[in-house]
Order: sequence, then C-alpha cells, then structure tokens
Amino acid sequence: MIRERLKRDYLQRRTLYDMSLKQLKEKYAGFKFGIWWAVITPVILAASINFVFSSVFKIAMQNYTLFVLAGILPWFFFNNALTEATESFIVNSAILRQGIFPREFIPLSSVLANLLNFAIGLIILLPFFMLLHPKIILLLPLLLILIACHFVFTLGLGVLCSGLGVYLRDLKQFLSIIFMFWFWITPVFYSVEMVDKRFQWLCLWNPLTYYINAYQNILFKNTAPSTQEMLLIFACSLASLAIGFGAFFKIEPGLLKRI
Amino acid sequence: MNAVEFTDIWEKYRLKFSVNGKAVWEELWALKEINFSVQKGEVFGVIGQNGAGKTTLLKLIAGMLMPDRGEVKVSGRVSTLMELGAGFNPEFTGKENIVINSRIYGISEGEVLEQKIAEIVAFSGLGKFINAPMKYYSQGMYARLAFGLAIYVDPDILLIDDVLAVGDEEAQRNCNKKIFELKGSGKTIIIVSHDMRMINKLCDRAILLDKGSIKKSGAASMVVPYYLDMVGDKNGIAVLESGGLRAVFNNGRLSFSCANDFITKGEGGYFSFFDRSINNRVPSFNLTWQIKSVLSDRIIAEGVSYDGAFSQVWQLRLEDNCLEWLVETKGRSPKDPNLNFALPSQFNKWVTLSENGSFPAFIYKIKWQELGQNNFPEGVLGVISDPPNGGLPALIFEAPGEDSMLKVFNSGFDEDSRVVQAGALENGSIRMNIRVFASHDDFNVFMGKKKESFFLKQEEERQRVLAEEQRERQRVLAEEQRERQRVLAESNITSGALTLFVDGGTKSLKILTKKGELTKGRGLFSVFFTQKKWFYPHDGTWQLERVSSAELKLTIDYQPLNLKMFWNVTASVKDELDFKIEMEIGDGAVIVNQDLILEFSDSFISWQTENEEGAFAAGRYVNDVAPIRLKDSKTNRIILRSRADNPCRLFFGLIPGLKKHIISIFKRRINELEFSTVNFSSIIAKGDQAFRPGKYTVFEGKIGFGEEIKLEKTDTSAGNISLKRGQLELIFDQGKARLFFKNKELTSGLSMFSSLRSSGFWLDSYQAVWDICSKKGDKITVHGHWPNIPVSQKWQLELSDKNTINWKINMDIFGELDLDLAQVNIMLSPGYKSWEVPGVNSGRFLDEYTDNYDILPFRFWYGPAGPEGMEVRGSLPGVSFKSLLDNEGFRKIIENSDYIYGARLIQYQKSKFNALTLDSRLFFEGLIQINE
Repeated sequence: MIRERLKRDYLQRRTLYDMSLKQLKEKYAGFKFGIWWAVITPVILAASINFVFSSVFKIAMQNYTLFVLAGILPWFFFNNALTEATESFIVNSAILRQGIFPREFIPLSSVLANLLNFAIGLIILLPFFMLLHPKIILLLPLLLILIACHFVFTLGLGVLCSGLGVYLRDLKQFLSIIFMFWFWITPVFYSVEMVDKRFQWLCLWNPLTYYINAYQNILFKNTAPSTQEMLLIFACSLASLAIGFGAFFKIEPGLLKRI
Repeated sequence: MNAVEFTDIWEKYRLKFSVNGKAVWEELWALKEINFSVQKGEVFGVIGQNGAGKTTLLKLIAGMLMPDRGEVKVSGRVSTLMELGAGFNPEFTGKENIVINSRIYGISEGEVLEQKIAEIVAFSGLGKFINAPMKYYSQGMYARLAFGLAIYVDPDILLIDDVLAVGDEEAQRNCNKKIFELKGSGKTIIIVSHDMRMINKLCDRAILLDKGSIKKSGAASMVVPYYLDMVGDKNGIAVLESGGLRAVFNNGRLSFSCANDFITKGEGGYFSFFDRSINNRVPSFNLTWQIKSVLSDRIIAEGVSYDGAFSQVWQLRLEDNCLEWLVETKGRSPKDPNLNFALPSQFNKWVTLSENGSFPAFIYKIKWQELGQNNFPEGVLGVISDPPNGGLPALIFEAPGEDSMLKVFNSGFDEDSRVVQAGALENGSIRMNIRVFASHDDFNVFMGKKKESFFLKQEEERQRVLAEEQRERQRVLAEEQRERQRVLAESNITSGALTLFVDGGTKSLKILTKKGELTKGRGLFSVFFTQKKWFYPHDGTWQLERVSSAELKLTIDYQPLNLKMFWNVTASVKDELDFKIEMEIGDGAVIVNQDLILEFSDSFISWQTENEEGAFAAGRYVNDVAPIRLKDSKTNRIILRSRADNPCRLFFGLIPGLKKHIISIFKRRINELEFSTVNFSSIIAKGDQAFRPGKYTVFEGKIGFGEEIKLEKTDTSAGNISLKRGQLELIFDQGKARLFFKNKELTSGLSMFSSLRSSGFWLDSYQAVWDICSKKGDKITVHGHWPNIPVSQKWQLELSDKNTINWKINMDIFGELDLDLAQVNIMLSPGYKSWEVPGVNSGRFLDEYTDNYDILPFRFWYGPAGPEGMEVRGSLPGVSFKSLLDNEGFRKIIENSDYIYGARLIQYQKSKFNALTLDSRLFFEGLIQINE
C-alpha cells in the first residue's frame, strides 16, 4: 500500500516539483523584490533583534547579527512550512478533486516550497558566514545532512498539521500562538548556555533546540555538532516522520470526506 | 481481468445537523456492502436516484475517497470527468491548465504533450480561447475542455459523472461519439447518468444503487427498467407480485417482469389519447397519479390531467400468470385512445389463431411501423422469441370485445421494441390481458386450446352459414321454379301437341312437344346482317305479350339501331303454329342478310324438300360447319323426320310464292355438340339492301308437327314464264331456263344459267332475284339482281326459229367488284353421251360424277373459244352451243357436273377481267341450236 503510493509519487514527481515551484513563485508573485524577500525578512528581523539585544539589553557577543541569522533562517523555514502545510488541504481542495492526484503532495509541496525559500536565503547569506569562518566550507556536507533532517522533521509535523487542519479549522490560529511561544523557548537569539539552569529544561525538551543549535554551531561557531546531538536529531526526525504520516494515514479516509 | 473491484465496501459520512442552534451529529452510510467488479474494456453504468451513492462510488474508484470498510482494487490509470471545473485553475489559461493536468497524468513536456494539446484543442473546439484564462469560459467550454482532457490523457479507466448533460446538443453528440470510440478501443468506462437511454445504448452492464446498496446488477437493458420503476412520485407507484411475475405501476406507466426478465421495454405499458385542446397525443404518464388502493392482487390508480378536466382509472390485477389491465376514462372523452405495450425486440415472432409470422427488421429511426396484420381472431395475439432467448417468456395478449382492434408495431430502432396496441371498446374503456408463459410448451398448449375452440366455433359458424345458405338456395330455387312455371305458363303458345316457348332468360324460342324439346342450341331464331355485324335475338330487348292462349306477340327491340322485330305466333289449326316476322325500321338501314334459322336435336335423322331428300349425316366440317349440298335450294318447305320407330315429323315452311329465299341445311358443331340446322336466307339483291323507314314482313310461315304431314308438290309455275315455238319450249324459272323439245326436257339441274365467282365464292344466277321485264312474241327480257355483289344481268331470250335460241346477256357492274370468273352454262341431261368441237376435238362423256367440278377425268375438254361451237349428242336431240361474240378472254369447257346434278355441262368461261369499273356492257351472246 505504502509502496504503491511511493511508486506513484515517484512517477508523478514532476508534478511535485511544479507545485513546489509554483507555491514558491506564488509567495512572491506580484512583489517588487521577488525572491529577495527570502533574505530581506530574516535580515530585517535579525537586524531588529540585534538592535534590541545589543543596544538595549547590552548582550555582549561578537557578530551577534550573524548568530541570530544562523538560527532565524531555519526557524522561518520551520514556521512558514508548518503554517502553510496546515491550511494546504483547504487551499488546494480543488486540485484534490482531480482524483488521480497524490494527496501527500499537498503538504509535501508546501514544505518543499519553504525549503527552497530557506535554501535561497542561506545561499545568499552564506558568504557572510564564510567571511567570519572561511573554513565553514568543510562543514557543508554536515550542513546538508542537517538540513535534510530538519526537512524530514518539518515534513512529519507538516503532514500531521495538514491532516489535523482539515478537522480543526482553527488550528492555524492555535499554531500562530504556539509559534510565538515556541519562538521564545527556542534558542534563536540566545544560546542555551545563557538560560538560567532552572528553565533550561524548557529548551531541552524542545526538539527544535537541537536543530537550531546545530545550525548555530556549524554556521556561526564553525564546529561540528557532537555525534550524540546528531543522533538525537536523527531520532527526532524519524519520530516526527513516523508520527506525522502514521496519523495522516489514520485520519485520511475521514479527511477526504471533509474536503 | 478486472479493472475495478469492490469487495464489501462500506462508506460512512458523519453529518452535522443544526437544529435550533444545537448541533446533532448523525452517521449516514453512503454505501453499504457494495460488491461488484468491472472488467477491463467494459462500459459500466451506475444508476440510481439522487443520493443513492453513485458519486461516492465513483470517488472511491478515483481514490478521492477511501472506503471505511472493505477494499477497492483499481488497476490502471484513472481519469475522471466529475465535477465541472475540478482540477482547473480559473486564473490560468486553458492551455496552461492542460499542461498542469497533463503533468498530473504523467505526461511530460515534449512532442507528446504538444500533440495532446493540439488534439484536445481540436476536440473541444475552443479555438483561440485556449489561450484565455479559464474564468472567462462558458460552462460548455469548461465541459468540452474537461472532457477532452479526460480522454486524451489516455487513461485506462474513465469515470464520467453525469457531466455530459452540460453543453449544447452538438457537444453532447461529440462526447457520445467519443465515448463510443473509447469503448471500441477497449477502455474501461464507468458512467453515472440519469439518461437511461444513454445508459441503455452505451453500457454493457450496470448496477442500480438505492440508498447505498446495490439493488440490481446485470445487463444494462435489464437494470434500467428497475430504475424506471423506482423513480417518480412515490404516491403513484405500486407493485403487484405473483410467482415470478412482477408488475409495477409507476405514475401512468406499467412495467412487467418475469423472474427478473423484463417483458416491457422503454415506456412499457401506457395509455395514450389525442387531446384536441393541445392538438397532440398525451401519454398517461403525463397525468398526475394517485394510488387509490393496493390489494395483494390488485392496484387501482387514478390519473388526472393538469387541468383536472380529464381523468382515468387503471385497474391492474395479477392472478396466476395473467395480468389484467383495464383503463376507464372520465370527463372529457378522449379521442382515439389506445393502450400500448412495448416489448423488447428479442420477441421476434407473432402468432394469431389463424396465422403466424415474424417481426420485420427495423427500418425507421423514431417512427413506428405498423405490421399491417389486422386479423386477430378472438382478439388473441401470441408473441414469442424464437429460438427461446434467455429467460424471456412467451406472451399472449387478449383484447376482449367484439371488435378487439389489436395492432402490432415495430418501434423505431432507437426504441428497439415491438408494440402491441389495443383500441377502445364501445364504452370507451380499454382492456388488455397479458398472459405469461415461462415455457413455450405451456404457451403452445394454451394457444392450441384457443385455436381449437376458435376453429370449433368457426366451424359451427361455417355450418350455420352453410345451412342458412342452403335454406336460402332452396328458397331461391323454389322461387325460381315457381317463377319458371309462371313464366312458362305465360310465355308459351300451344297448338295440339306443339308448343312454342319463349325463354326470356336465354332469349330464345323453343319448340316443345309433350315428349320434350325438339329444338336445341339457339332454337328458332332470326338474324340479320347490318353495319358489318350479325345481330342475334339476344342483342335486343325482349318484350312478350300474350294476347290470348292462341296468340303470342314478341317484340325484340334493337335499341341502338332503332330497329324492331315483331314475332307474331298464332295457333289456328291443331298441331300447327303460324308465325309472321316483321321488321320495323326507324331510321332506315342497309340489311345485307336476313335469315330464319332452326336448330334442332339429332332426334331428326332425315329431311325432305319438295324436290329431294337426304339424311343428316355429318359431312366434312369446315370451320365447324358441315353443309349438305342441295340440288335445288330455292324451296320454301322442309320436313324433318325422326327415327323410323318414331314416326313424328316436323314441318317447317314459309308461305309459298315468296320465292326470295334459299334454304340451306347443315350440321353445326359448338363445343363438341352437334346440331342440325335449317336456314332460310332471304335473297336480298344488292339494289334492295337499303330499307327505308317502315315496317316489312320478313318471314311468314308455319311449323307443324304430326305423323301425317306430307309434302305436296306445290305449283311451281307461279313466277315462271315460258316461250314456245314449234316443238321447242323454254321455261324461265328464277335464273334458270329449261329447254324442252317435243315435250322432253333436254336440260337438267340448273339448266341454262350463268354463274359468277367473286372472291373465290360462286354465285349462280338462280340465287339471284329475277324480274320479268317484258315478253314480246318469242322474246323475253328478264333482269336478275345478284345478292351480296354489285352485279345485275339482263337476259334476252329469243326463240329465233323452231330450233334456235338466242341468249344475250348484258351485265351491269355498279360497284366495286372482285370478279374472278364469269360463266355461261348449259346443264344438259345425262342422256347425252358424246361431245364434239367441230374441227378441234371430240369424245364421249363418262357416266361418273364427282364431288367437285374442275377435276380432270371429268373435264373432258377445254380450249380457247374459237368461232366453232360445242355439240353434244345422245338419245336426245343434239344440242350445239356457240358464241356469237369475238370471244376475247373466253374459253370453252366440256365436263360432267357433280354427283348432285349428275348432268353434262357445257360452258363459256371468261377469266380475264381487266378493269372492273362501273359499266354496263354486252357480256355474252350465243346461239343454242337443237339438231333433230
């Protein structure tokens, strides 16, 4: 059953590619700056955070902006992908009526589109990180593995949310609140070490912490994440994938009836 | 191989109902326990009412839904044509949408895609609109593009959900055509439609869904009627069941099935009438129906027209194998009402009590074709499929009533059905019984019984009619008998033993004695020839007047000629009847011949005239007439003698003195029947043929009967004239001149006479009518008029001395004439034994005679007419005959006559007539000398 679906998905991979690209284009379609928004948004946010925390709260950290950027880019990917995936079935219900269409492409394409968006931003900003640590180039394979894991993790949650989103139309509103809270408990503009020991568990129970931390390590600190960390990330990704798709398949028949 | 397979599929919906703001959730099974499979290459129909689960089923196949229970197996690529506009982005152009969708179907860019796009554009007929955003498209354009896309992506399985209803007729036709093409190319097609005709036409098999379950599955033509039974106002649906039979009344439609095989097809059974107000036929399913009562074996339903002015009541009763169907109408009486019952075309043979036949092939598309069979004895019609087709039963339709008015039609091939129609009875109601026989044997037994009773009835009727006819015939016969007796009494005249009966029926006169009829054939009758035609008694109108028991008057009116014949028959002397026949001519007429004829039976075997007698022996028939040759035909009377042991004689004679008649006796043969005939022909000379208006006596005479009748020699001298000089005497008697010397007759038979042959036919001078012009001293002049040819001769006979006769003949031709030969003859006694042409030849006569003239041994000599004469000698004084003219064209002949006259004949014969114009000339002058 799953194999058949995978086979069909593979045959129609072209459609997935089209859809993702289309969604990416739609994101900036009609905008003056187009694809540059993939950079502008994180950079502006990073700059404003830099201003608030360096100038107001006087955090003493060299190249703080780059540090924030290293975390905020993957965060945006995660945040946007999940948000879009959640409402993807509602938005794309028309295409679902074309019976032959593989349903899983809908959340998948949302996640992929944002991955591309993330990739573009990263490619544009990578030279700044390289200015800081020219040797980052050696850690790129590790970065790609990390991105892949991050993608799988996001996809799992995205598929889950897309399914739940059909049942629970206000999930999107819930998510915006959750993401607000989540943003703060995720060490994007701070590092875990900065957090009071009493509250560190909040960060450590948050799986995203490990991903963001890994990004920061590679891009900002130019150090490879520990093997333990990588294994943890691996595990989290697989769990997310399993839980996400498991739940999706479970609710799929009912889901179809509701579209 | 199955393209689609459903195994125990259940599909459930949870629905939220909002009642007064309170949400109530309810579970609803859209599909329950669905099991079916569609084979590859099959066209499969899914039918059912709205909400039956058809679309859910299609969605399950498409994968748009997943079953709650069970397993859906689909092998092959599916393309769908379901919701209008599904899968299209209205912001994109048609072409872009095609590209996007093609990708979904796995067709990537390149030539294949370009080609597909071209095909789809061509099929959809969108033209330049293909490059416009789809939000500007009309519904039809949407539909066409969707359809084009669905089929050109080359799917293995095509799902169509009732979307073809969108679009104009041509687009629909195109789509239907394409579906047929796809069907032909082996695609699996699954169609949901409410158009039963389309389902019937397209689908091989179908399933009928009702409230989520499969109600019926099988051949489309079998499933569709079940659907038709289901749809409609529920108040107007009722069902009767008995055994395997199931009759469904559905809002003015009757459908009838036997063990799942539908006997009805299309509209099934319905009532139809002509509505004057809308000038069209109205079928019963256009009325509003209400079931009045349903019992186990009976339905009563009432249908009312939209305006309430017309209503009808149906009574359906199903008992055993017979469905009784009675329709009564109320209100406005319908014009030309009838009941129609449409059968599947698998019924291919019909049987009535007297005939049977096959249904012909369909020839029209929509129009019905009447079979023209309109004789249905007892109002019974059997219909079967032969050879037996599946489970189709045999049917018998009965339309009771005196005049059942059954009709049988072929529908058009679109409907593909046979229609049995029954007309209304006197009281406006229509009744039809339909008997169903699962086995043909039962059918035959039933039909056989019907036939038997019908034939018995027919036989009875025939016997009755026969008996009646017999009685009638007897009555008529008796009537005829009475009439005949009456007529016989009124139309006969009797004198002693002799009776003349006027038979008005055959228009003939019959002579009867007490022993029976003497006449035969046409009896006694008179004919005449005028205007190139013979007129017989039956050509005229008969009127009989019986003046007294002794006098009978018969008038025969020949209307167009303005000519009447009057017969006056009187009985004066015992055993004798006198008759007088007169002719009244109104406008004047040319009568060429006038005969009085008596045809009689062969009980008479011999005849006798004044001069001779003979038997009625049959001679040689020429053209069915065998004449008996007479020596002297200028006689008026004849006696017919019957067999020797029967001494009766019949006398038939004309009044003597009127000598202008010739008698002929002959036998006639008509259709192997022989009659003896006596014929008195009037001699009407050419000059006398024109009759002025007036009344003429034609024949006057007598018929007598008895043993004592004798023929006395009458005085024949009347009308004769004689010359005498010394011992020499000449008697001229109607065209023959007899010579006597010393009171001994030298001549014989026809004596001195002339004869003419015209057109191969001999006419002798004694057959002419002679007038005596003058007698001066020893010289007489007579004038003879030949009948039938325009010739007259003036003879001058003079006894120039005691032994010499001068014979001078002038001949007048006063009309066109074909004259072969003309002769001047002397027939001499057989006492003469030798002949001589002085200086030329001489010889002796033989004493033998032949049937004919001109036969060599008896023609002793002939030669050119020279100056010398012909001489004969014997026991009588010698006679020489010599022409005084230069004799150009003449020749002399010496011969024996035929056996009748048994005489010597010397003659001058002229054969070369150059120009026969109207002229008058000396034809012959000669001397006859008697040498003592």
